[in-house]
Amino acid sequence: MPTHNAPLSFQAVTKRYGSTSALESFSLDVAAGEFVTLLGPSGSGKTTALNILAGFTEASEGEVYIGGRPVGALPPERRNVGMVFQNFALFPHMSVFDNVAFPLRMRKVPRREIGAKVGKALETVHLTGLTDRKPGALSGGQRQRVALARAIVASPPVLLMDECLSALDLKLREELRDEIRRIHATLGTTVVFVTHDQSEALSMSDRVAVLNEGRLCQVDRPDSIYDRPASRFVADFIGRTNILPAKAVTDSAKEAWASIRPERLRPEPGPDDIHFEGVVEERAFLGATIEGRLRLGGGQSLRFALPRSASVPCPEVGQTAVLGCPPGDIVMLDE
Amino acid sequence: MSPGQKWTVLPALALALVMFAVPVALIFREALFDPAFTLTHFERFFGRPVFQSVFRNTLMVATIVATACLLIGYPMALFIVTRPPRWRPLLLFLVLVPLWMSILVRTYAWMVVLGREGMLNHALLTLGLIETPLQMLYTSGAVYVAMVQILLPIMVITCYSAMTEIDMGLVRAARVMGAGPVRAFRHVFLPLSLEGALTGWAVIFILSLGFFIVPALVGGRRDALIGNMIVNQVAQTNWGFAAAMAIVLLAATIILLALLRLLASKFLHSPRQEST
Repeated sequence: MPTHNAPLSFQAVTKRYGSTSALESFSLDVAAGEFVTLLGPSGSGKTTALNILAGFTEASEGEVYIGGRPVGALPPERRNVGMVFQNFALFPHMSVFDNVAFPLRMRKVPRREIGAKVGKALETVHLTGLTDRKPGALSGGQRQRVALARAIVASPPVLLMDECLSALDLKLREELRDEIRRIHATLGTTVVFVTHDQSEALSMSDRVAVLNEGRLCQVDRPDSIYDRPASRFVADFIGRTNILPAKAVTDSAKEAWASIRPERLRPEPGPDDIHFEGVVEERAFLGATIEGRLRLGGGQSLRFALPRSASVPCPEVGQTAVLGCPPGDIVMLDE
Repeated sequence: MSPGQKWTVLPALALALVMFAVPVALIFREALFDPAFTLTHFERFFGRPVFQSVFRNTLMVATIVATACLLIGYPMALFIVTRPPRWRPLLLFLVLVPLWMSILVRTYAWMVVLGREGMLNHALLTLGLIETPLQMLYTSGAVYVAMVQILLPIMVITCYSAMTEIDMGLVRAARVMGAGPVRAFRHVFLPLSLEGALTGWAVIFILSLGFFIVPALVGGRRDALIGNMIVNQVAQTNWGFAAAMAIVLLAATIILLALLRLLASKFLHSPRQEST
């Protein structure tokens, strides 16, 4: 399948249900071939955004563009996107072959080309030899692969994925995560991936768009989102962090917050580091790291994740300890 | 099931035996012994063209009524199932209300509507669409109309419950894969709801076979169904012959339904085939 992709764009898209808005003035540009994840807790508007893009839901305001064309007025079948659903949505009355062939038949692809294209798509997702089975006779992982094959078989320029790994167990999820990355690299399709799982978002995406309560909080590369969260919500939602009042780390008097990742703290801080002194409240040995909490003088508690090291013994529970990190590792947040 | 639990099914089994198996056995005895073993009742049935013609008519009426119910009831169920969830209970309620009225009452109501001096003729005369009253009562048409009206709610409910089992996400999936609303319906929704629709058809068919009040009240002389023949024979205390006709009807029903099932299992997707 040749490289075939299109840019897409949300422009000030709002979706209201009565007086509540599921999505509020959402704007996002996705480049052709880019893998962008919409990440947020349930009710954040990420699925609404995807449904508006797919054509299942109509935006109250704003417009969606695929390949530069406004698509708001087009029904789903005329948007030429591929989609993988949360519960796979395989047609139970059709064989694997007929499921994968469905988008081709609906697009009136000549019969003699269908067999080859279905074979190629199933090969791409590493699923062969099960073409006559019904979805009911497949395992969860196999169903997911069929759903993927069906989404890519007609070479759509845009691929949408709606929480499509969350129905699988952890091991399969990690396996298919790599698989989806690989398929994206092979096909070069533009991918919009929706998930509430931050590790999926961070590990798979070129860029992550974090949503909360219908609003876009931040959109950036995974490492930038992790290192430079723009708000308390993002800092807290992506990875683990300590949120302290800014007063605890600087002389600033204004109402602000400081985010410190547990793994940035280290024992025996240097003279230029910000120091935190407190009593070790709890401590757990996790192999590569030792994690725990420090009760600070101001009453806050600070999570830490220290690399295990023979030269620097970790303080015991009840002992006083000083941890620190370079000022640059602390992110100041206004909201 | 553990050996101890086996005993818990006994009351149900006993009930089924007394309520169903014993009466059927009694009917067989009535038809085959008089008092010694005899096939005379069956010979009489198959030897007289009039009985066979009534029998054929019964099968035809049941087929037409079941098919008409399917053609009207399926779209009705589809309409209800595609309404917003808060409207559905009310719509279902409206469909169900007639079911709570006695068949006798509803049949008499049709006599009032279709009679020579009835509401329909009166309305047509007043509107000037006809000049003399139409003969609607005591015709085959009246039998069909009344039977369809009486049985339709059962079809709607059967189709509706089958349709609510269908994941509407599948229809949306079909749409995003390039199928317009009509093709999404034809390739996804229709095949998945067809088994429920056929079940409804079979239920209506079976219920129609036993009708006798409706043809007796609104039908003509030639609209008698096998139910009417059985009632006549019982009235004349010809228990043996009535039982023989009941057995022929039962046998025909079982054969037809077995054929239907065979066809359905060949061509239809059944949700029960899956074990997930």
